[in-house]
Amino acid sequence: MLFNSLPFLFFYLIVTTLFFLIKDTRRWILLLIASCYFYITFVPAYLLIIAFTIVVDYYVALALEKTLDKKKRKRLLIFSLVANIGVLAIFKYYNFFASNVNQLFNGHGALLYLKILLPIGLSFHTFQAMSYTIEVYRGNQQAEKHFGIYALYVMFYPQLVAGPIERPQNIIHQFYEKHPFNYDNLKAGLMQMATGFFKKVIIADRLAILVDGAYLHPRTQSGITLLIATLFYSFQIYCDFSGYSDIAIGAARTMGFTLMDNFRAPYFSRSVNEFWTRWHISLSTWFRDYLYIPLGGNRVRVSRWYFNLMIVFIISGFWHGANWTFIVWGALHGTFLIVHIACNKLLQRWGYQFKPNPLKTLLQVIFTFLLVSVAWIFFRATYVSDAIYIVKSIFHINFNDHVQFSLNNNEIWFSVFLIVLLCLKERFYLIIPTKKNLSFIILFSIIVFSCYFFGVFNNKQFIYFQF
Amino acid sequence: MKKIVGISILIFASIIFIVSAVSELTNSFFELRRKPSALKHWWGSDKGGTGDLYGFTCLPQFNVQDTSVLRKPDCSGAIKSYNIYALTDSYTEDIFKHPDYFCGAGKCGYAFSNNGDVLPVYLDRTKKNIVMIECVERNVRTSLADTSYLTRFITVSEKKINETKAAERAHNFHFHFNIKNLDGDYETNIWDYRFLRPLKQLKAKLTFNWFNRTYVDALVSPDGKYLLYQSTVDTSFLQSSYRPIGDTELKAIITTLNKVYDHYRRLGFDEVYLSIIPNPATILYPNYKGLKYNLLIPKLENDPSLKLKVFDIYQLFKNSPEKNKLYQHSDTHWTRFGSMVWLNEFNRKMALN
Repeated sequence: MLFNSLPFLFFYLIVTTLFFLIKDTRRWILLLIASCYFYITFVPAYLLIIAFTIVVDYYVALALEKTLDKKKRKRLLIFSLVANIGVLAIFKYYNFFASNVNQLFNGHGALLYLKILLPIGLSFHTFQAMSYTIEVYRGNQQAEKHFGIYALYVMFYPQLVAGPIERPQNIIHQFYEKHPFNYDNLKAGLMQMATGFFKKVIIADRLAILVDGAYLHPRTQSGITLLIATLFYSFQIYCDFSGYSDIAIGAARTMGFTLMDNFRAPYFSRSVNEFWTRWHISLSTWFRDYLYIPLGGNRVRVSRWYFNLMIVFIISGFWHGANWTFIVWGALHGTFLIVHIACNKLLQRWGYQFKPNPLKTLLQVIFTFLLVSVAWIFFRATYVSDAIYIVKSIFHINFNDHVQFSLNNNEIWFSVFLIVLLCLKERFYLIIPTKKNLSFIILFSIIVFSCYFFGVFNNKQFIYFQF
Repeated sequence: MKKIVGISILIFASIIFIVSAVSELTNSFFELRRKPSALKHWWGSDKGGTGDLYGFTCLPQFNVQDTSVLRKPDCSGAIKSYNIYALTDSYTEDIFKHPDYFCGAGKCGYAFSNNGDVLPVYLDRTKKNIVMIECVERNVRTSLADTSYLTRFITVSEKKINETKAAERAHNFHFHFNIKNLDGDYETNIWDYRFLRPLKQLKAKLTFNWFNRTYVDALVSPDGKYLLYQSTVDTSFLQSSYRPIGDTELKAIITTLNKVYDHYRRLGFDEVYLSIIPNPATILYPNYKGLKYNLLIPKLENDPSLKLKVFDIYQLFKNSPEKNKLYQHSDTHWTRFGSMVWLNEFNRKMALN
């Protein structure tokens, strides 16, 4: 069930109204059933996979709490991690592995392919489940005794298929708390959902028409077409994913739950380093806490530090998808970061001190945006060879080339206007006021009607659903 | 007050949820709302009676109905010489619902190609038993390239036929609670009302006039007279009338069709016919924006290795002086006039055999 679909609208209305009509103590049952229903609307059989990881992690966590034996605790953690990563390995990475092995033998390899579809949101709920066992292992979180509440922690429908990847400390206690009906939460949640829909159906899906047209057969497109498509893709993926996060956070908020923020105006970052503190925050902090720091973080030799960064970004790329394009995307970000750190160190050694001024900041923001956009080419392209072709075409751009857009001029300019509007909102941290009822009703109606009249409705899935 | 509002929202949303999840309920309500008497009321269907592509695009200039009529042909003097069993799609299904429209047919049965129906057939040897495979051109390269319809007709004894019919009557009333792919049902239940037409048409006009776009699956023809199904035009789709077809692909389709022919002949059928209904784009716009028709139908039908008998409608349509009456302006299908042309030609040819 896509958020931008009519079935979701009615599902949401039923679940949210029922939530406030039933007793506090029964709400977890409602949310768990609703979340199961939400999940089985994609592929019913995949409920068994998520159930498997829930059962394993639930019992591992209980066992972890019962024992003080360090070796046994480590074995239990490894067992849980292997179970979770094993599911990912089979369903997400096996065919990629088989295809690469078979290619090594000129297509005559003996590995068979599995005829399976990737369970939707697998990487997200697996990582959320893993963060639970790791936190219990570290002693930062008590093992949850209530099986239903633990299952709900993994399956809570707003963030089930594309995050934010929550930490147990942030969300589990909220399932025990009372959530009386609160107008302010309702209005703020609905407004955040409306903003998310606006980003998705008006901006992301409109830009997608042009981007998909250009990236489908990149070799038939001119450099200028590919350049504009790439710049548009940077905003498409941002609006698509942050739009999803807004809907998820807003839907949870209307029921009184607080989910973590996932984005903080990432395209206003002054460096790639800063970008990763503002983009997909729940994933970047996950990798920081559970991979980067355990590897030694930056408290190691410089070469080892760079190695740690590169490993984290390559794995982060691979987390997104079983394709070399994602691995290259991750490696590029790792490289950008390492070069940035190395340059800073060099400048420090030479005694150069940055004095911030608006022009310099603007140039830094533009440069960072361009670097991130170059990396997006690999994220979006179907093959690495296509991505390399696109990069070459863009760097050999000829402004006299024929431009082939799947949008007419009016719609191109409308898209540009929307991007400027988005940037202004992000730059000045504009929050749509919801306190006063009248202003809420007027602004909410304007956004809803805009979504209807200017929205592109083609049942386009959220980009991050595929991960 | 809050509770009353909450319960009202819950009841309304639950009704829509249940009706949309049970496709039989959705279909019943839709049929109710598309009756001619209902169409003039605010709650009548907006799509009812107009073309499927209008339903996608909602462009007001295409809110037109097919006013032609499908009527029983004059069958006076016809001799019942054959039984016909057809694998149909939405093009000829309406015709095959009326066995008496086939002047020379004793028995007439059909299986709908999309829903996997298997039709048990008792071969009455007193007449010629023929299988008709009808397929719209846009599905030829996908549907006719596999043999999944080899078992769409099975031959059984007369006793077994009667038992099957009795069992069908007993299971005629049933419900399915669906959880997947419900967007279309929700849309029908909450969006397809006549009173919402101005809103839908306003959005469609804005999108078309400002952005020169319609709904993703439909295109306005260059002369602005027809809505065309995008996949029948866009060469990135196999359904396209302009996507070139190579010899290997053509041979593969013919091989499959010949297997089907052999299969039904082995079952005891006397003849297997093939009838391909041209895409509207094929007949109306053979040179669409510089693209050329790929000649799929003539290439396939005239191939000497094809064992099936061809019931050709392509040449008839192509040379028709009334081309503009053959296809609906806002639909992927032909008009009832177009289907009458097919039926009359079929009856004429069968009478000659």
